[in-house]
This record gives sequence, structure tokens and C-alpha cells, in this order.
Amino acid sequence: MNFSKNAFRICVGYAFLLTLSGCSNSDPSAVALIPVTYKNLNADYAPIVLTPAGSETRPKQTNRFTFFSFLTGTLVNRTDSATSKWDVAFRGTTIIVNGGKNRKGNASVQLVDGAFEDLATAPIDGYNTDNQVDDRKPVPTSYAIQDQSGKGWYTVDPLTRLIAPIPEKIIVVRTSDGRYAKMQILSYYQNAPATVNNLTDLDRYYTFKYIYQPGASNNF
Amino acid sequence: MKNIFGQIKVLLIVGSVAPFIAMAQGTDTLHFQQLEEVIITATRNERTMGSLPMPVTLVQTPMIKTMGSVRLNDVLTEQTGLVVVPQINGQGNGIQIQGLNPDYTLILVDGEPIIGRYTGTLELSRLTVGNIKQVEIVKGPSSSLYGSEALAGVINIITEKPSTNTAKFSMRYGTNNTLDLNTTGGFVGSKWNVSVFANRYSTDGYDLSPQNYGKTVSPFLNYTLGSRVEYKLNNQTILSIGGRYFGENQDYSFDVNNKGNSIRTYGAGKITDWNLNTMLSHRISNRFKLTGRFYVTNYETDSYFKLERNDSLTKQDNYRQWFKRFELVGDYQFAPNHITTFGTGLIDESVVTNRYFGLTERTLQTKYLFIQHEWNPISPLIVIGGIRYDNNSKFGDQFSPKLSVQYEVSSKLVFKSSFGVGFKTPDFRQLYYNFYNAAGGGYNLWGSEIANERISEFQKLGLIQSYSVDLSTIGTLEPERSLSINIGAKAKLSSFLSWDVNLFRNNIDNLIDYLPIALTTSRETIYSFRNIKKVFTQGIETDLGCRLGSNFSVSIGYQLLFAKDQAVVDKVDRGDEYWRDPITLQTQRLKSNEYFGLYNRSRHTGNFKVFYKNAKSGWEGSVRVIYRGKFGVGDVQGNIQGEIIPASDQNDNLILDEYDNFVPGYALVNLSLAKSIQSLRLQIGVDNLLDYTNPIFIPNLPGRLIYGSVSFSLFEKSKNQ
Repeated sequence: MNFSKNAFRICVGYAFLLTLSGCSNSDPSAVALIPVTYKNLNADYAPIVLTPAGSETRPKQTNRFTFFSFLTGTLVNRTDSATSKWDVAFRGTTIIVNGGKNRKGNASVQLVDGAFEDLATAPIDGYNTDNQVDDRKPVPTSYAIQDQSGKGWYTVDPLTRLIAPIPEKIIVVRTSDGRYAKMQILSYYQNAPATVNNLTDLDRYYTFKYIYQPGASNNF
Repeated sequence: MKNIFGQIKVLLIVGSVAPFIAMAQGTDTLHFQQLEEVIITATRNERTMGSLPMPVTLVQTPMIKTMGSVRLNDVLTEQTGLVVVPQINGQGNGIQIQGLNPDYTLILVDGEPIIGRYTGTLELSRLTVGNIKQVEIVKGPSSSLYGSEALAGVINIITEKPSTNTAKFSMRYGTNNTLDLNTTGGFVGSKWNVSVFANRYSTDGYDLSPQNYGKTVSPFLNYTLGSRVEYKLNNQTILSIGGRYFGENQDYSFDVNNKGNSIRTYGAGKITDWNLNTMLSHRISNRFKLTGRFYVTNYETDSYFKLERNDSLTKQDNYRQWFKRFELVGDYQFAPNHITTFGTGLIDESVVTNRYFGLTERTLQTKYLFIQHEWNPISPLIVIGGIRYDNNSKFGDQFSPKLSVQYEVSSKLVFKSSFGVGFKTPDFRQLYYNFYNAAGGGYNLWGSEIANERISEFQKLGLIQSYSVDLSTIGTLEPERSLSINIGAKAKLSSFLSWDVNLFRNNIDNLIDYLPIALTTSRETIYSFRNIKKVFTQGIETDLGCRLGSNFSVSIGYQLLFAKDQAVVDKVDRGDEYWRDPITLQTQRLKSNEYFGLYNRSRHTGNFKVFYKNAKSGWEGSVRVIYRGKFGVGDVQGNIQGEIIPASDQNDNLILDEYDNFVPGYALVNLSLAKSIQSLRLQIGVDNLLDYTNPIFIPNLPGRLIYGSVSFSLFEKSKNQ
């Protein structure tokens, strides 16, 4: 699988971070948190097939989410979807959060505008959870991170249909374990090409960067 | 040069229609302006160039002939401050004046509007310059005289009126098997004159991307026919009836590129456009003249596209537009230095097309009144003020005032300024468009008047997933309005050097743009039109002209332009605009000076021209260099020959900033050489000598074009005698 190498590297990096923060638990802000970049998270990629009428289908699409935990910095198995082990999950352009009445976890999320590095503290309040009842029949506006062009984390070009992450959108997460994380989506296409070619580049591959604050602090 | 204001007084006394040729003949300026420099568009009366406080450009036939131009876009593209830009689909030629889109410039032939705009752009190559006397360009808002659309300016093509019996024939043949045949005839009697005109233009088109199937511009053939009869009923009354016909056929073959699959398609398109123009002018007294005009014009297009593999029809399109206008204009001379022009009129417009929702005829009526006063209180001062009131059946009342002032400091220095309001009522497309794009991934674009109806239909069928805007805000469009100021000066630096400069600023409120209004359950976006944008354009245009000896003239023209979205400027200034480096993926705040502005605007454009003319030997020639600086492109609708046109934005902030990909600047070099032997004239020329092309971003620019032409005239006496 194409993410195992990444996941391994991130795990190792993470263990190191955890050790550091364990040493200085009394003052977590003293530790410089290093942003981690997670590459090519497969959010239900399936090749586009053109029908003779010119419309598109994705017959091999699974409609399943890919789950992610900031604590471990890894994907979470789909069998654990009804647990609090994950924080956010990805399917196409939809990002859900593990909290609220439909989910087992306690995570919540909000969008903050700015440069990733400049966001030194996570807001104390203002976090939301999804109101979505049935993820098989998604209503874009009912997600805490709205799944609509210009309303959530991305814009869609009406002509090329290319998805561009809005540069200043920072997704701040209160995680299932009650910590804070900030993440920024960097690309929606495999290997994050500088110029996306909608004929050759595969979509539904997230590259994002994040910082997880393991201590009881909202500082990053 | 004689004091132009001396001439003006004479002119004011004489009134308007009288011949002014004598007046301007004393000029010893550039060769190509030695004929009468009289323009009608700026005030609706014939006035000398020097007496007009607003920025005006005049291109006369001798200059057009030397340039070897055959279509209107050839002429306009070489003028300072005018930029010929492709239409929204990336093809064709529209005109950008002072950084404003082609939608905002009114194009007239003999004072009557040409209709038939593709998504707002009037295709300039539809208009031949084979039978014209001159092209008049008034920059800045002229809604005070012309109403809607004259927001950025007015271009008026003045056709030739015969003064003696003439018959002229010309033929030009060049690259791409392009043939232009032109004949004009003039017959003059004691009480009447008749002009007839015919033009045939055919070309094989050209292919800038031979690796792709089909041509960049497909072969086409068009005819333009025109005639005007003028009859002098008595010494006070003139009746004139004129008509013009344009017909074009084009055959297409191209690939529709859909996510890597290519679908070979062929088709054909037909355009017809005709008008009839009746004018009766009566001089009631020496001071008072009335002119009534009735104008009717029709524009139609029909096209179809079929799949090559099974001849099945993929698209059929038709469009029929009518425009009828009755107008009564009077001018009254209170005193030699007080002239009032006033008018009233009715316009009836209608469109039927499959592009709009329902095959019903859509109509708009406009009633209007205008008044303009020209005042010359003291010799060096000219004041022209006017206001127009338009009442539109859909958009209600519009008032468009304008005030222009000119002051002559000395015979060598003149200051000019004008201040005005322009407007453009929403066009039929913005009201009734019903467009679904399946190939692009699926989106709907609905005109404001039909959006509510369509939304409730979709709602009933359960196709709406969510709304992006408050529904009560959809459905009412207002006219776009501008507030503009032009301040300039004209200086005669020495006996051979003249300098012209103009500073401009246009603020447009209520600019109409499309925005997402809803999302369907199949996740397709629905767009509609709204008055959402506020933009401004500002800059400097300047021309330096130099006469070298008696045969050479050299000129340098330059325009500096800033065209920006006010909301983006404010956002950048607040520090709320960001960009993401596409390589490092790092997000950074955009600095104020890093926002470039609107798409398709070049900050720098210019030209350098050398003309040579020797009346004695019959030789004439020219070298013209036309420069257009770098510019950005937004989304271009439709792929040209299957090429993907990447938008300039490379850093996901959806605006054009210094870190985006620009279309690089370029220069075109055009040469021409001609020799006249009595009534025979031979010409050779090269346009785009350096063969500069940019297939993806500038498909309307063919490569190097070499041509030769022959023309001769019968009966006509040489003008050079």
C-alpha cells in the first residue's frame, strides 16, 4: 500500500515527539512542535470512466471513508469506525469529524483563516460537529467542514472541475482524546503536483500538513 | 498650424452638415491627417479634432490603406490604448478600451449600432473597412449621448460618401489562401447620390496546433453588401436610405476533448446580419435642423455539430435578434458660441434563441431623451455638457450626465478634461440564459430572470441539495454603472513634435458576474448572474508624434493600465488574502503590491510606427511594431482544438498575483510597401513578420501573413493633385 512507508516514517517521528513532550509535560509550549506532512491519503480514489453520453461515473468507488488519528499520526482501520480511535475521515472532498450525535467519538472542528505557521493557539470555543444523519446521502452543508466550493476547505473550478484547497483555511481539531491539532490541506491530487493536469493527475489523494499538541495546551 | 479655435468659430457658425474640408486644410501635421480631421461621434455633430475635450482617436482611410488593413480588428489593434482580445471562448476578436471588456464599447456604423454579440463581445472581424472614410473612437463614457453599452467608449465607422462618380476595385491575396475582393461605386447627380459596395472575404483559416485534429480557425467565407441613396428633396431637406447585408458561412471540424477521450466532431455555422437605415433631415432655419432616423437591424446565427463516427447531432444552436430604433434629433444654434443638440427615441429589441429558457421571444423597450449644449464662452475655453435619460421596460430610469471642458493655454498647449457617467443594462443573456454544461463536469448557468423559475422546478423534482445564497437575492439585475474621469493635454513641443497625454479612471459599480446559487443532488453547481463586483481601471495613455522631413512620420504610443477588483484590493490591504507556493505548498500572506489585477489586462501596451509617403513618386510604406505586455487568463470556456487552457492562477487564491503564470508579452512587427501609378495601386506587406504565435492563449493571432494587393479606380480624380 502506498501509505505504509509514510505512515511508518510519521510513526517514528511521532514517537520521538511523544518522548520529548513526555519529558517536559509541565510546560508543553517549551517544546517546538514540528509540522508533519502526510502524503497521498487515499480518499476513495476510483478511476473516472466516461459514458458514451459524456457524463462521468466511478464504478469502482467504494463510498467508504478513510479514517485518520492525529494521536498516532496514522490511518485507523475501517473496522474501528464506530469507536473514538479516529479524529477525522476523508471521502472525496468530504471531511468528517468524529463527534456529535452520529458518531462515537468526541472530536470537533472549526476553520480558521491565516497562514499555518501564524496560528499559535487553537481557539477555546467555536468548534462544531457534523449534523449529517446518513453519510450515504450526504448533504454538503450539514458537515462541520462544509463540503462545498468556497464554503469549506476547497474551491472547485466550474470549468475544469479541479479542486484547489483554499490557501488560508486551517482546520483546527479538538481531537477525540481532548487535545488540539491544526491541519491544512495542501493538495487533493496524487503526489501534490505544482500544476494539476485534470487528464493525468489522480484526484482524491490528500496531502496535508498538521501539528498535534499532545499536551494539555492549546498552543502549537 | 493655425489656431484651432479660430477654426472652431467658423465651424460653429456654419452649423453642422456643411463641408469642412476647407477648414482643416491649412494643417501641416502628419501626412495621414491632412484631409479633413472632422469627427462626428463625440458630440453627434461634425467637429474638428482640436475642439473636442474628450479623448478621441481618428483613423482615416489613407492610413488604413497604407497599413493594408481589411477588417476592423486590423485597424483597431494598432491604436494606442486599444487592445484586441479574444472572446470568452478564447476565439475571435473583441475590443478593450481603457481596460474595460468588449461588452462596454458600443460599435456603430454611420451612427447606428451593430448588434449580435457572442457572450457580450461584438466580433470585430465581421466589419470590413473596404468602404469606409474613417474610424472614430471616443474613449470614456458616452452614455450621455448613446445610452447603454457606451460605458467604455464608442467606435463609429463612417462609410464613404461619393463626391464624384467613382468605381474602385481592389483585391488582396495572402497567406492561408485569404482573398479579399472589394468594389465600391459612387454616382453623383445634381439632386442625388448613390453609393454601392460589395466585399467578398474568404480564407482557409489557420492551424496553430497541427498535432491536434481540426484547425484553430476553420475556413470561412463572407459577403458584405451595402448601398446608400441620398436624395435632396429641396435645399432644406435630404432623404437618405441605406442598407447593409453581411453573410458568413463557416465549416468546422474539431476534437471535443473530454477527460482524455477525443470525440471527432464536425459542423457548420451561418451568420446573417442586415440593416436598413432611413434618414430624413430638414433644415427649418439657418439655426435649426431636425433629423429623423429609423433603423432596423437583424442578426441571426445557425449552427450544428455532429459526431464524425455516426453523424448524430450533438448540438444545434440558433439565435435571432432584432433591434429597431426611431430617433429624432435636433440642433439649434442660439448664437455662434451656443449650440444645443437634443434628441428623443424609442428602441425595441428582441431575441429568440434555444440558448435561453423557453423558445419565447424576449423583448426590451427603451425610451430616451438627451440634450447637449456646446458653449464657447471665451475663445480658449470650450464647455460641453449633456445629460441623457433612458427609460427601460425592465430596468427603469437611468440618468447619464457628462461634462467636458477644454482650455487652450497657448497655441502650443491645450488642456482637456471630461467627467461622465456610463451605464450598461444587463443583456438578454444575463437575463434568460439557460445553459447546461455536461462535458465540463456538469454545471448550470441560468439568467437572473429565469433562475427562480428553474430553481423551483428543480426543487419540486427534489434535485436541489443546498443553496449557496439567500434565494430572495436572486432574480433582479440592475444596470452596471460607471463613473469616469479623463484629464489630458495636447502639446506642440516644436514644429515637428507633438505630444498627447491622457489620464483616466473608471469606477464600475454593480458589475455583473456569475456566482454559485445552489448545488444539485448530483453535486453540480448552479450559477446565476448578480451585480456583485466593483472594479476600477486607471492609467495613462500617451502618444508622441514626430514628423521627419516632408515624407516621414514617426510615432510612439503607450498605455499604462491598472485594472483591479475593489473587493480584492480591500482584502489584500486588510491582510486577508493568501497564496500557496505550488512547489513548497507553503501558504503566505499576499502583499498589496503583489496583486496584479483583472485577467486579460496588460499593464503595458504600446506601439511604434514609421510611415513614409511620397506623393510625387507614388511610394508609400510603413513599419509598425505593436507591443502587448504580459497578462493573465482566467477560465476560458470551451477547449480550443482539445487543448486544455490552464488558468493563470497557480496558487489557489483564485486571483491574479505576481506569483501566477502569465501569458508572456509579445511584439508584432508589420510591414507594408505600396506604389501608386496614376489610378493603379500595388501593395505588398507582411503582418506579424516575426511569426509570433501562442496557440493556447492567443488563438486569435495567426502567424506571419504575407499579402499582395492591387487596386485601381475609374473616373476618380487623384486626391494628391
